[in-house]
Amino acid sequence: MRYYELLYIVNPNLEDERVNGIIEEVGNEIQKHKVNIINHHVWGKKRLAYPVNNNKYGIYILLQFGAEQVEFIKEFERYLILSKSVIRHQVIKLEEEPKKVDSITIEDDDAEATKTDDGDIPEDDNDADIDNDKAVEPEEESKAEVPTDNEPAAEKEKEEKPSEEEKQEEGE
Amino acid sequence: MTFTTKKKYCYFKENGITTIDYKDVKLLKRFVTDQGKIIPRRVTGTSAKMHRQLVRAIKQARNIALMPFTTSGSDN
Repeated sequence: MRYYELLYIVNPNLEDERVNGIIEEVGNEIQKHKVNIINHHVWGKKRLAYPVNNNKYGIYILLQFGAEQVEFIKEFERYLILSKSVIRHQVIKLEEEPKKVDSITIEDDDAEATKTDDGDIPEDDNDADIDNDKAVEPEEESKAEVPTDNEPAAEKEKEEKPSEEEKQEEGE
Repeated sequence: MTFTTKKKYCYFKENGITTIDYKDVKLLKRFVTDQGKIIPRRVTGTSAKMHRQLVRAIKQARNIALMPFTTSGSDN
């Protein structure tokens, strides 16, 4: 028995029901070849590193399976290429038998990024920050005012000095 | 005059990693430049054995759009 891993990207504009339909279709297609499906899970919607067919995002789906015969994989890949909703796929041979898992848990920056786009959590954080700023402001203002007054004045002096020198040069 | 260079160690041997998964983008990103180029092992100190695996993993990740081939000319 050899073990393989197929990672494929599905068009992100599809609805969840349609995505589930595609997962079922792919599962049925590969079942025709007497394979043992170990894992078949949605990894999640991720931002692509580069646009594929003008899509900026993609839904990643991972399929791990074991097979006695390997000849069908070319045929199966052809099916994936022809299917319109699968925009990219890759089959990798695994060295060891993969463990059966309920969901894919791989640390990912993209997953956090998508959460911040949709979720309310960052907004709450912002509010908290603003509150903190308000609490701190009265103390800081008194200290902050002093340097702010000096700085513009210093800048003015610098601006004025060269102009005077220029005038002198012109006079000479 | 003596030149002292900081000794480089293989990241994977230090952390006891034996297999590199191409899906682990967070790990692979350590070994590419901001442009997305693979950093040579004379710089990173990765052992030859693990560097071969690493290069394969990065290229697999690029194929499936998990990592960029290059960041120049793209908005991402």
